[in-house]
Amino acid sequence: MKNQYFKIICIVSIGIFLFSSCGRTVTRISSDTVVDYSGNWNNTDSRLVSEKMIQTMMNAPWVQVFTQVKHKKPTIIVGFVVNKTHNHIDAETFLQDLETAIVNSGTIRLVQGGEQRKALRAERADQQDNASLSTMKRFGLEHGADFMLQGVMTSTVDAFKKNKVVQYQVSLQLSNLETNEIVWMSTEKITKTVKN
Amino acid sequence: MNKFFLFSLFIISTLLIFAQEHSDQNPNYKRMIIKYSAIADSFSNMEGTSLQRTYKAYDWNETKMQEKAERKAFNRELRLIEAKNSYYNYNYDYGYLFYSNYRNYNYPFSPYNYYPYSYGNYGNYYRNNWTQAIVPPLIGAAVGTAASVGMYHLLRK
Repeated sequence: MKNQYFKIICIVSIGIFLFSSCGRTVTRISSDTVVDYSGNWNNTDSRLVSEKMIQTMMNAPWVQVFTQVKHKKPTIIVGFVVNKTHNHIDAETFLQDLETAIVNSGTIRLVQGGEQRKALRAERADQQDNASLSTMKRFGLEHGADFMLQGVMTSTVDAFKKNKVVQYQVSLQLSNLETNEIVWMSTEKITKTVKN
Repeated sequence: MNKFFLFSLFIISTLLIFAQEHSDQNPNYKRMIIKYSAIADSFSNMEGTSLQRTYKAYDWNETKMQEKAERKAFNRELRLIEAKNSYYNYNYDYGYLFYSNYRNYNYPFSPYNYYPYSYGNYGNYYRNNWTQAIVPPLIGAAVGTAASVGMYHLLRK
């Protein structure tokens, strides 16, 4: 009897020993939860930047000024963001939050650009041959943007032995497409210390 | 006549306003339209995207780790090369490369051999491979057995 128990314990313990390292756990967490591992750019930084940008952009006076002078809502097109940091960062992670805020505000218009606009034009071209005359959409009636949103991301790294300080700086600008005048600009700085 | 006069006045004033609005425009603007129409596509393709112009930041700790990994990889390569060429090159008798193993086997007490009792160097190659294949599982099994025996004794009490 004792021998049988011994065998079972042996098998179980060997099994635990062999398979304990193969386990993997995945847990869903809220997008607002702050999780930092490497000190690189992560979802928390993206969220902080988008929150700050939305807040400053919506409260800036340029919308009211434009509306009063031109008697229409301003129209924005999103340009490109240049990533000059030491990490590969996709600016769309916070730009899309900004776009959502613009569309939902109701005071600013947003028009498509880039690949999406090409897809729309391609669909319109397709309609010229395939759609009925009453539903076919015409060319040359796109809404021209008044402003373009552009941005730059930069970083500075100071590292020695096991300590590191990283500063990310995200700068967004809104420029008048006719006059090149910058009507709104915001910069967000995120500084992190990393100790290995 | 009066109506015609009023209509002419309206047309002239409209044209004057239009001219005033655009009077400041640079007369060479058409050159820029031609220039930028040609390259517009290359820029509009990037709209809504991120242009990656990243740089490599110096990180003391990361550099050290990278150097360590490179050294490890180099030593591994070196060991593999040595193991593959051990038949010819692992003799310390400074010459007689092709005959040395023959001499090792047949004349173990030859005064020309540095290691008189070795059977060539086939052993190095096989030992390396067998070591890598067998030792880690053996260690694992030994640790596992020790753990299970320990647990048994603990539970027995």
